[in-house]
Amino acid sequence: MINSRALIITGLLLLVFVLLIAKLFTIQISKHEYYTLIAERQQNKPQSVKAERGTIKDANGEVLSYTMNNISFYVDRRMMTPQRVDSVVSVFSRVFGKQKEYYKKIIDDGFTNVCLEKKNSMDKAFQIKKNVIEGLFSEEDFTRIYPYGSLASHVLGYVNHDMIGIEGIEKNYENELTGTDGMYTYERDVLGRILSIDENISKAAVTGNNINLTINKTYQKILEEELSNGLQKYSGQSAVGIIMNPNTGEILALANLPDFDPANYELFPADSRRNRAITDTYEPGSTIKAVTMSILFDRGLAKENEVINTENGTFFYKNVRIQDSHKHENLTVRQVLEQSSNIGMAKLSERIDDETFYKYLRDFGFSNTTSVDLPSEAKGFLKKPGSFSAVTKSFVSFGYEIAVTPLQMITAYSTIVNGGTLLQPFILKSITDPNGKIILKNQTKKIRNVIEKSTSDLIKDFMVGVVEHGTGTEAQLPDVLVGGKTGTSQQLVNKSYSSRQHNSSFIGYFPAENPKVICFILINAPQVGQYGGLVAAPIFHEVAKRMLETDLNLAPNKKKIERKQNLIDQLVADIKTAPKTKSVSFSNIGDRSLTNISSRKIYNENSTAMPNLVNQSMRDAIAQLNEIGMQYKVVGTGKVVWQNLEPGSSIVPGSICLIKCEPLLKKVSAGTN
Amino acid sequence: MKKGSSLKSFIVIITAIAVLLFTYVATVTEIKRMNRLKISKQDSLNVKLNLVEGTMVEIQKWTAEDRIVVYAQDSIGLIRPSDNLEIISVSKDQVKQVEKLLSQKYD
Repeated sequence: MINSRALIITGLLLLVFVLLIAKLFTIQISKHEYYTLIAERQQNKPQSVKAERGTIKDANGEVLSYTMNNISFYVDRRMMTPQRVDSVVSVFSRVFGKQKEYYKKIIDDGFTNVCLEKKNSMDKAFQIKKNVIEGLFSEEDFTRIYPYGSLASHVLGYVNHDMIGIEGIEKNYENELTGTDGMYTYERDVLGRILSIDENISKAAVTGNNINLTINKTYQKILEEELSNGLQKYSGQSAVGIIMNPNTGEILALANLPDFDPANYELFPADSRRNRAITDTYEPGSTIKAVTMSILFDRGLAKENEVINTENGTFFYKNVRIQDSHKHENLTVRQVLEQSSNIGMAKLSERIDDETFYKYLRDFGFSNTTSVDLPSEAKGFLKKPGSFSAVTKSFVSFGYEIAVTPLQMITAYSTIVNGGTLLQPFILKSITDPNGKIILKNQTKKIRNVIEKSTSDLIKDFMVGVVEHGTGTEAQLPDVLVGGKTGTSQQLVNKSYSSRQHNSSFIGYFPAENPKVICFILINAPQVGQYGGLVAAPIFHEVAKRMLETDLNLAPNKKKIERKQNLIDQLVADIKTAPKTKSVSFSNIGDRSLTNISSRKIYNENSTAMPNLVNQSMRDAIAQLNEIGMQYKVVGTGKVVWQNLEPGSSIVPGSICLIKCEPLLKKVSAGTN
Repeated sequence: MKKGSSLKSFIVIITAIAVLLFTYVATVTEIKRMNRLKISKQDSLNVKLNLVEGTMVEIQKWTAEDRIVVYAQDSIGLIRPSDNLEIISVSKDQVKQVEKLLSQKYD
């Protein structure tokens, strides 16, 4: 009996066990795939993890742009029950310290997906994520931060709402800055709590690389501030400024005005967001004269003290009137650059044949992109020799009929200043991975040698003269020698040159003895001042002054430059003190070795007596002095009205003949005092 | 006797299997927990690093030279040196020698 009962119970248990085995067989083997799929859908929820965008730093490692890891929270109202709403409201109120009613109202007033908190810090997210509520979602919502607002905005560019670079470095190095998104596959329990992460199919996000620029934040700030002050002072429409190292091609600062805030770029018009330094072309005006002059000297087509008849300021060249803003009857070639004579330049340019002129301009980088690592660079415009009109060459020689970008211009000037080598300007210093390991290091790229070093030295010397006693005196610094060139060009308005709207520019470098910095300033349509020497040169002066104050390494050997107010007094004093060397040097220059004018002839000892130069034209007088190999200094232009050495007197070796010229036709007599 | 010993062996085997299974499940669960913890700490670290980056930028802004110079000039009355920089050159060997002398002296 007992055995039969036990047998029945055992049989029943066996039956249950067999049934269980059968069910297990169904679940685990026959319908394995079906149940696996259901289980995976319920338990494993893959979640993508956005990669952090790399940072952009300046040359000294200061962060100019980085990404803040933020998070936004949403609820899906369709999944919300009153209990869930209460839970959400309580949690948010506790974590963010706001009233429950605030969140309740947002949920009640919303449609399907409602954003409860936007762009909050991730530490808040950890507190929220502890509470799993059906219908509550979070999304990584990164924010690109530009700590200095509009500083270097045109260089940095900006990203859109999807964190994709739209302009500037953000665009150009999009692939480097963007990391690789990751994905975590979570295993969750029935309540949605995370149990584990499947490491086999999960991968962490990889942060983007860091971009290190050649930009110096301090220089950038100085440039932007002074450009802004200048734009306001001279009532211009817009402005461009570039600071470069002429020996390496590194762009140290690049600014445009008006500018914009990259974090709120949509609030600014496209006009403000345009990087005019590379996208806009302009007719450079007189700043190109240094380029033309370097072609002339590189080809041996002009001599420094050769006298050019500058027609007293007005000249009809092939029936086209060319005017100089400062009237001179005659100027030496050096003075043509110093006084920025269009007439002199036009006449000199005729010595260069069309093909050579075009080739040199192309070699200087005009009508070609500089290949700087910034997007949307313009090529500019330069006529080919075949399409030159009768006056093209003359007009190009003083900066018309040619369109250049500010970056092309400063790059061409760097060529003149660095000894004659065209360098590719660049703004990327290096790329490092998130651990700081250098992936790529940018180096100076030499494109070609354009002019000889001797030509470069001579033109640099001329440009020091421009600042010391030419059109760029406003750029002078008290204790550092500056070289540079002013430029003023009329703007084309409605197909004719406007007498009201100008481009006023200045390109200068310092210290002139060993240029470390070259700076370009352009003011578009200034209402006050108008001329490059009166508008852009003072801005350059302020920029250079502040840079030198900030960076003591820029000019470690400062020396007070004693500038003479009255040139005649100085020259007379020079003669009285009997010069010890046979070379002539600037009166205003700190480093005299730089300014030795070697091309002038040295006194010819076989000459006998001093000729009478009075009443002769300056050109004839200089020709005579050159003929006898005598050193001289000229003050003014026109006819000789005075000479310091008495006609007929014997010439003392080493003496200098000083002549004073005036553009008057009055009768004068020779004198020695 | 024979019956009892086979039952005993059966129980021992079942117990051993149960212990093994239990150990396996416990280990797997612990691995999963550790994984979860690792990822959570990693996330937390990333957040902290991001906060550090933000703080560094703030420090950078507060300690910027141009900002300090304004205070130095306006509040304390300091002036920038107008004289040329004095460059002192000391060779690495000299520095090492000095270090050696100092360490000898104070050791």
